[in-house]
Amino acid sequence: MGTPGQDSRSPDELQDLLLDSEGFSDFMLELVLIAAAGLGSGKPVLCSITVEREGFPLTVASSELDAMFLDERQYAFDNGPCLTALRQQRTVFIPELAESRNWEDYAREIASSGVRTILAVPVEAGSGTQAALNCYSREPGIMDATFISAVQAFAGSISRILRLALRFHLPALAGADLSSELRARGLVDAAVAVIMIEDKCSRAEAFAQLGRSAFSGNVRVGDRAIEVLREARRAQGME
Amino acid sequence: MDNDEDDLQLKQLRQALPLAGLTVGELWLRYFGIGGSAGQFEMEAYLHAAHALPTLERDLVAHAINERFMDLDIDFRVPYSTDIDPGKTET
Repeated sequence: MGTPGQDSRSPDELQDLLLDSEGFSDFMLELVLIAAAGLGSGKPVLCSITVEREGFPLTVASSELDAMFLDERQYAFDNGPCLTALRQQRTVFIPELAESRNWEDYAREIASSGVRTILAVPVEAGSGTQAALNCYSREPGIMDATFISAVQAFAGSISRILRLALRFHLPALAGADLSSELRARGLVDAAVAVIMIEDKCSRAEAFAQLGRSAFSGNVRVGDRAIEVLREARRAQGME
Repeated sequence: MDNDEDDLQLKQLRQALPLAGLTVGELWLRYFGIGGSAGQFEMEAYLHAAHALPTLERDLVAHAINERFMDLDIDFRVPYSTDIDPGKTET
């Protein structure tokens, strides 16, 4: 336990500390991707997160190598759906790539990948940085209106975590040992994101579900969160 | 507080706090760690019956103490709003 100061801490301040803490970034990013990979409700959807700083785009995380390749072809052109989502901060949806007139060059470039549908959603990532969550599918029709709104909701919910995860070189959490609480909170937030995707529900509903199952089972909320994340990993064949 | 059941939960929470050996600041950190969204000041005001918290937030404060009891191997549990009145909807 840390020694609590006289000041009253706000959840936002602490969550910012969480994002700054060393080593946590990769961990959180992995959790975010597990959640992102759950978006296709069983059908394969490739997901990635692109971050651009000072004009240099970079895929910071991808559910498969293919997704990274699909992103990188856009960087080579300095144009593409995810760069457009990121730079113009708007959702780009291409239901059938072969029929799209705006992305003919890109479509030709990635034809061998078999990707047919692309969705790119901007993620608020703090000043000086832009980010987008990208989804690619080889099967048409998976990305319906429900899917799109789920991805948008998810992009909103990972914004803060992503901002934290991006601060790679910041000093380790100084002073009080808050790490166990912060780590627990990170797990809870990640599990809530997974439940939101799986049950297509709001953040409040997902959190209530997680909390209540811990209350009624007389178990720790953090332990329930870990179970939720493990199940998601298993469902994605990651374990 | 809006009703007697909420009062009962708060009363038991206040009785449990010294038993758990936690300061209010320590309790708040634990509450935050399990997902609580109220600030320390609001939680403290709730403990003094000067501020109302939504049902789930109240249950999270109760659960933060209950997790401490799990650590200490103490069987005592502060009740949840859902135990007290299962028919009650989320506020």
